Amino acid sequence: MAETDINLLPEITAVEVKEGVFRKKINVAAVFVLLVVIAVLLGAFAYRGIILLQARNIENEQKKREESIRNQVEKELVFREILDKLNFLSQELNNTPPYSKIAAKLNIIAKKSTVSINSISTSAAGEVVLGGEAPTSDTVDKLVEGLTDDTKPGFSSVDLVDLSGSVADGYKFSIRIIFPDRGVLVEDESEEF
Amino acid sequence: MNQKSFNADKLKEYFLPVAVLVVVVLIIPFAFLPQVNRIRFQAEELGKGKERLKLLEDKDNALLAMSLEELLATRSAVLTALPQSQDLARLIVGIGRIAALSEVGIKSMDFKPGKVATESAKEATSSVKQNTDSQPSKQDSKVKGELEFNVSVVGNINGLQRFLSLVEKAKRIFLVKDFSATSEETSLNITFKLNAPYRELPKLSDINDPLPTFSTKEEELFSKLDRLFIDYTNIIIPPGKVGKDNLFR
Repeated sequence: MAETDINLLPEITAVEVKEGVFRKKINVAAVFVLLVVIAVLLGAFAYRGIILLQARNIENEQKKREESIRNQVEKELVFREILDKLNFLSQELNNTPPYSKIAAKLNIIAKKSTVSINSISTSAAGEVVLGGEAPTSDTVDKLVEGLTDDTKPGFSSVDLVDLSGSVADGYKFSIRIIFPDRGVLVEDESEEF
Repeated sequence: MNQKSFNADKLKEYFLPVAVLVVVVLIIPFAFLPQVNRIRFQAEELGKGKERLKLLEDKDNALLAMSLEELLATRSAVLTALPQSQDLARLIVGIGRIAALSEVGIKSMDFKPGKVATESAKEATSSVKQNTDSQPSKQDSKVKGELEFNVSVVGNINGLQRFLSLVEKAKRIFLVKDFSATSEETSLNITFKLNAPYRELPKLSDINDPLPTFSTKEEELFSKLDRLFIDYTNIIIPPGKVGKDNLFR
């Protein structure tokens, strides 16, 4: 005679079955999470190892290059000296007023004019003071006009500082000029003496 | 009572997930985060190391590409323009030649050794002071000197112009600070205030300092120095014995 189990409380069994499945899933998930965490941790260790290895290689390469640079120290020193000196020269030559051009311009103007220039003094600030004698006040005007023309080097300011004298004795004058140009490196082939 | 046993049973049933949770919670602050921090630090260090290696490679390759012979030839030309010391003998010869070519007569040359010595002393003491600092200063590598002197000449306005022009184009660089001229009967008494700069050998920089580049600006200047500037100081000074062997005799 066959025996048959009859479940008299099917709701309870269903809950137990559900709980069993849930527990199994939770356990699997927990193991999975643990494995993932361990994998990530191992990955981090491995990544650190790779970084350390790379750092060691880079350090070795750096040492080789340092050695090579030390062996070429004379080249480096000479090269730096050349550049240092050229930079210095460039700066100084570009900041020096072009006195020869100023003198040339004054020379041309003085030759054209009937005034006689008795003194010239300059300063590094870019100031030229001319002193001289003129037979008439008109000749001083012409001199000032000549100094204020557009030919290079241009003077940014020409001031008649002092003019004294008489028609009979002639005039003494003093003119202050400011020249803004700087630099003696400009190539000028037209200079003739 | 039943409730308690029920909870204990439940805890036993969920032992694995609870244990995993505890392990994960402990691993994150005590193992994972320190590891991440170490990785971050090492990655930064690696980045810096790569940058430094790149710099060293560039510097090394640039130096390898240079020829020492060519550099020494260039340096020799540059040293004519800006020597390492005052080089007075050549300087005086140069000024004499320029004056002769300008047709002006030299009345006097007035050097100021006191001023120069004081400046040198200042530089020396300042460099000693800088050397005592733990941080090496970049100023250390740039030691410059100036030799200011006055030259009085007699000539005319053409001579003045020519003298200035030749001085400005002299290969041994003379910087005209200022000049003054006063007429005396038929001639001009002219006084030039000149500066003959010199520059000592720069100190060797740190190995990590990149090599500066030779820009077109420097190339142009060197080319101009070579083509347009004239060397008036090219005299051979025979090496001789200087000073005394025994100061007490």
